[in-house]
Amino acid sequence: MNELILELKSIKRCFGKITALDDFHFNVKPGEWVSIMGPSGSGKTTLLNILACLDTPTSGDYLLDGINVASFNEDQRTVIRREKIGLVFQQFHLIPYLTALENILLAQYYHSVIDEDEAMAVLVRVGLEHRATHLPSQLSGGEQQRVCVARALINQPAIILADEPTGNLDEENEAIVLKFFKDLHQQGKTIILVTHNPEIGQEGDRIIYLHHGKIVEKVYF
Amino acid sequence: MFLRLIRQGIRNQRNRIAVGVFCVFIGVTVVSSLINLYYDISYKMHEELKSHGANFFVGSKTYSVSPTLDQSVLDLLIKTITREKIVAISPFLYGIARLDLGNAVLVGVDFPEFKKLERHWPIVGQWVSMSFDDRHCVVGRTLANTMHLKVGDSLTVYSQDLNTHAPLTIKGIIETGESADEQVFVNLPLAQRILGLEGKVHHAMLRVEVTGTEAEHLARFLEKTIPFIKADALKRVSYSEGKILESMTGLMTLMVSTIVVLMTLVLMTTLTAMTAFRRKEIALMKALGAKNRSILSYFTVEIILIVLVGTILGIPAGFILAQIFGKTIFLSFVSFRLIVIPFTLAIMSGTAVLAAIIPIRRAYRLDTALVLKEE
Repeated sequence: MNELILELKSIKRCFGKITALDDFHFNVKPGEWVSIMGPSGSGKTTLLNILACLDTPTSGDYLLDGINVASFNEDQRTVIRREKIGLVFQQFHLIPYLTALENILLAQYYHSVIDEDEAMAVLVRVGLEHRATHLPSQLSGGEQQRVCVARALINQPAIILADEPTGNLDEENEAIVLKFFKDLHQQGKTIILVTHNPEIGQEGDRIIYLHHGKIVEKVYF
Repeated sequence: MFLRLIRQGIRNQRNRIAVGVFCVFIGVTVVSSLINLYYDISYKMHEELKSHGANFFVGSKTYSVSPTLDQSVLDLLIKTITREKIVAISPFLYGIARLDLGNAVLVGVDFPEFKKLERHWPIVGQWVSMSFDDRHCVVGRTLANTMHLKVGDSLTVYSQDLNTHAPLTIKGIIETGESADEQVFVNLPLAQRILGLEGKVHHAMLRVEVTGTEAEHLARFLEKTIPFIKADALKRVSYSEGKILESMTGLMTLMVSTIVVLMTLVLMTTLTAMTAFRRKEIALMKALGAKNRSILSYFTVEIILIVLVGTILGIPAGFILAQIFGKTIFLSFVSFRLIVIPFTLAIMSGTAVLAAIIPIRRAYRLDTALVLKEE
């Protein structure tokens, strides 16, 4: 097993004349929870997109579970993403005409073969078994985010990448979702979470602060 | 899961799908009606023109009053052109014969074939039905009036030297408005015997299944293959027929092309709107691990369904529209032509592929991260 599950070496990402990430070095150990914080425009989203293999760096190396994915084409990145990464979005991004269960099955469908029992078990884990046949429009924000977490977990990814997972939730639902992340962390899942909320950031093993595409501060707990 | 996605996806955007189906339906209705109309009217016109006399003349290369062509040239022509293409072929032999009350032009023909060539000629009585019948004749109206002849009367035809004669019964009187009204028509062997020209013919007239420029090409081919003959396409018939059909083809092609272009644009707009509406969905599918191939397969199935439903509904509607066009423009109902189905499907498939290129490219090039970040 690799000592590092994820390693960025001298990553640079430019959009025209704008440099979003500059000579960026970053690594994560298996089972670690890293919180990423910083003001708007600091490069958090760019970093997360590169980590999620949704984007490629302009230069530098990105080793994911020992594989350099920096120069992968779109299809190769799609494959590695579905094999290694579970994504949780701030805006949930559930397919509006699929039920909660079907939304989870969709991730499984692109990964391997669908197994309704397995999907139902994940739904039980997030406490939404009674909502399996409900459409996203029939679920509260917190419930939608729990479906989103369940979808990220269904393929047992090596890393969970979450972009402001509680950004659209009220306090009560924020606490519920946060508890899932804590549980996952305790179970040994690697979590990288982008947040503006320092309290949530402190739940991690460390926080990195970004500014103008560089890490300006690291805090370990 | 794939079918579930397709089914639910269609339900979720049924209005846009309905617009797509409606667009294909209208296009297929008009296109299939025009194709049906074209094939049916062309066929009917061709059949109609077939009855309008010979369209081909074959004579001797050297001009002479006396016949220089051997009768066997007919077999040679049939062999060269092939029997399937020849609707009718009749020899013609002319000569002056003596009748009881004076002279007349005696014409030797092959009656069964001659009848097919000139079936629009009005006749009182009947045509001679057998080519070996040497007891009956058909006479022209002017000659009949001059000699007070009517159907059923007897008529004796003599050779000029009076050594040969044949007693005949008039089976029919024709009225053509042409020189044929002054002639006596008998079967070729009898004419050859009376005129003393055994085995000879002046020329042959044919109705061949060719149109426009094809007739010219055939004439040149015949002259090359049988060097001693002169072949001419009777332009009045062949050329007009070809011109009418060519004009119809041009008009139909223009109309179908215009409709196909319009339909492609409308379908493209609809599919582009569908892609734009589903961009978040597509981005999410990609983020969850869907390859571009999977996205393409959803679009392909949806487009196939739109085209298929529109075509299935459009073809019967097109047939009804063809009846309306046929009755109002050509004063004739239109028969259903099976060729309409593959033709329409081919046109629609091409249209769908063209219309789908831009929306599918957009889906392919969609920036997943950017779209998922949009509010």
